[in-house]
Amino acid sequence: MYRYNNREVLRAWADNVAPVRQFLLDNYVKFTRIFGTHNEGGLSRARRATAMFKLGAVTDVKAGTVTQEDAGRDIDGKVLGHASRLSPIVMDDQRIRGGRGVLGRGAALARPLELSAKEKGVQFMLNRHMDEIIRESQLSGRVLGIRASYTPRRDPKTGEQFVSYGEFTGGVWANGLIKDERQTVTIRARKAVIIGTGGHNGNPQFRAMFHPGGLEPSLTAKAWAWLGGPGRAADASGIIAGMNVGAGLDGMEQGYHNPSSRRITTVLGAMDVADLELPGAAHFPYRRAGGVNVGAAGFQHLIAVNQVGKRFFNEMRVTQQLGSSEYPQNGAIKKWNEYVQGDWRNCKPDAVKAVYNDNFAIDAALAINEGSQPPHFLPGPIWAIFDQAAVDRAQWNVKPPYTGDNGLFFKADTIEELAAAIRAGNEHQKVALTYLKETVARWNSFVAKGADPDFERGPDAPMHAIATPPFYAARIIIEWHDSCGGLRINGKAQVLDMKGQVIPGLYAGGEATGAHLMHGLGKCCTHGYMAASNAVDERA
Amino acid sequence: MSSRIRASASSPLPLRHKIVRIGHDARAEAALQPEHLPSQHKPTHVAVGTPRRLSCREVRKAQNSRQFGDHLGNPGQYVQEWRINMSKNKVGDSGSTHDKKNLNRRNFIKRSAAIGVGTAAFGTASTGPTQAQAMTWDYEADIVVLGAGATGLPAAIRARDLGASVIVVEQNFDIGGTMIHSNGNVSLGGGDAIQLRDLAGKNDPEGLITVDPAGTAGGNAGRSRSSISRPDRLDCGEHRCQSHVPVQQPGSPACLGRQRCPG
Repeated sequence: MYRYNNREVLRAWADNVAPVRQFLLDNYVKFTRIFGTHNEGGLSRARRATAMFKLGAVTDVKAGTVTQEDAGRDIDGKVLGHASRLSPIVMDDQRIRGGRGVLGRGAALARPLELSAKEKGVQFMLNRHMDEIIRESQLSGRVLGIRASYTPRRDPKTGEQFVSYGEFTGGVWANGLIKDERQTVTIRARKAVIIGTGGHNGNPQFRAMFHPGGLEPSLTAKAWAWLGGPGRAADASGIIAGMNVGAGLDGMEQGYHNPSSRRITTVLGAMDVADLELPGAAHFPYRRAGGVNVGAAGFQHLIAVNQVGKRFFNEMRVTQQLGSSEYPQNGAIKKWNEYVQGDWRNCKPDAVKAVYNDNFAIDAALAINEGSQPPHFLPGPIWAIFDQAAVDRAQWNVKPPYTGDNGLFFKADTIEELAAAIRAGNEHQKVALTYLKETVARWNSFVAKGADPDFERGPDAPMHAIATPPFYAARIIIEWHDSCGGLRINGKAQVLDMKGQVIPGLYAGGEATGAHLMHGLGKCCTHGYMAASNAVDERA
Repeated sequence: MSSRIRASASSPLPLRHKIVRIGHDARAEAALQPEHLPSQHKPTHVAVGTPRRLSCREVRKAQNSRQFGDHLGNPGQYVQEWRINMSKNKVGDSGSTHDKKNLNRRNFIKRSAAIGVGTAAFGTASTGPTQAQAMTWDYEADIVVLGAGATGLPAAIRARDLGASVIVVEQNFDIGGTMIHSNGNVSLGGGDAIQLRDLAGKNDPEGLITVDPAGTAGGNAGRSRSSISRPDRLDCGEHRCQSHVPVQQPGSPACLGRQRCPG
């Protein structure tokens, strides 16, 4: 494929990746064995290793050890049913890449970096949302600083404020925490402001530039609960603040093309897809339930309906994402030609089709439907409907903490009561599920006949009647995962304005920037490293 | 590299200035520089979450307190104007020569540049550009990093390593951003240290790793992971793939295709 990357940024990234790995190692991060490539093309030739801890008697981030209590998983790989303040998600068993007791997760990257930063004297102002970047004049002059507002997070029931791991743990972990509860503060940057605010995938207005269904508020971004939901999680604040001082944008077409950007996941009844974000995590009172991950195959046990209670797609294909721009992984050759650098055959129609072979369930889920109201005709949430027989058959754990009173999971003795409970209990459900009873009856008649003329489900998987009370409804999560498209930067990670000129004193990296179609942490860490390396050379 | 190391940060934090803050009042700023204002200039922004439209009386009251000060002792616009005029050519609070230089430069810009009309965008708490020359600062540092995630943390440490003072601003209650929520897969390359380690068949210095690298005898890391580690699981070759669910029953459909893993 011909790719969409900004070549200057790409080259600078490539020049910096090896120093960045060393930089991460120097700041206490440990890595597993390399295992193949990461998702996405182009830069996926980069070698993937996972940040790791190893189970031990104590949690010692510097030494790379973690207790099973902090990891949420034991030496045999068993999930203990809780997470921790250290790692708000249960860590993954990485024995295949590191050996028995080796666990991987973002915490094994974030906590070592946090500790190192605190030891080195970086100051942190938590609970503070950047609202505005201040430039000498709106469209000219240097960037001088920012304005930010106080945004503490609290337990919705008790009102108790969430406390950071550093403050809770104390010692060196509490270093450098600036406590300031004033509503607004201004912070001057003598040399530069570096934007690392993440993407736009949690901002409905921004998403709507790519897909009209992006306005739907029940559509979530990754880490939705951890980051605090609407107005916080991937809210495009850095991109918008940059735009307000004249920044240009780049790679905006990628927000739509990248198939991992938008997806329907197999986690039911939760705020976001991290089903192992369990009690023990400081913010769990906000999340209230982990969710039930039923897997793609689990969708045979349920029907998926829209906000008026009608089915909208073949359930066995709802979560399927065939689209891929990946290179061959692990020695496997894709069904289309292996990518050959510079060869036009990479763009043969069958190869292109294979790459963009999305199944569009997400478009069906986000389509206008009978419940869509003017002016925006929002699609509303989508629901998995199943019965007790499905729970028993598939052995789903639908008990707390995997489910909870979160407005996303309901149980009732009749379908009518279930529909009423959803309408009353979910904030994004704006209309009655008028057709739900009819839909279930129709589905059951298809099961009896062994064929689904509406969405042709028969050949894919067994079909099961929904007839054994109690009945369950769990919201299916539509997630805008990756944010592609954002601020335009150059090879020094300086933000460029609409004329291609550098905005003095403004740098950006990661998902707040565009035109670097690469998923994941390797991009972000390198951008941050590049930005800081250049920003310190600014005159104060 | 050592040539880049700078003297350590000059100012301790926080650094509070005594200048009255008028930076957030667009009307006060407008009053200061009427000759440069576009004729239609008016505050165009309403903070998101504003509960309701103010009544005429409330608006008038707000205008009065803005101009004349309020009962809490906050100075109004006229007092602020007076103070600004008084302090126009002497800003010594921060004591740095940079500040004097910058202020002079800012004053120049103030005179020469038209004021942009703020446009509230995209429903965040954006309030349009604040007039920079009227700003006072509650804190300052060489580098201000926005976000304590995968971009912000490396940026902060790197800047600190090179001698800059750094403040990281994070909206969440804890550090980590989306990074801490991820699988922790870090794709780098170009002959990086981990590549070289694994190519050489070496172990990590701490000895935490007990498997051989991919491609060596006994090294499984590069093979399809799930088929080795979890034979009870459907295999689509992606770790923590959504399809990696226990096989529920004989005849369950095979893997339905590769799901994107969150990284």
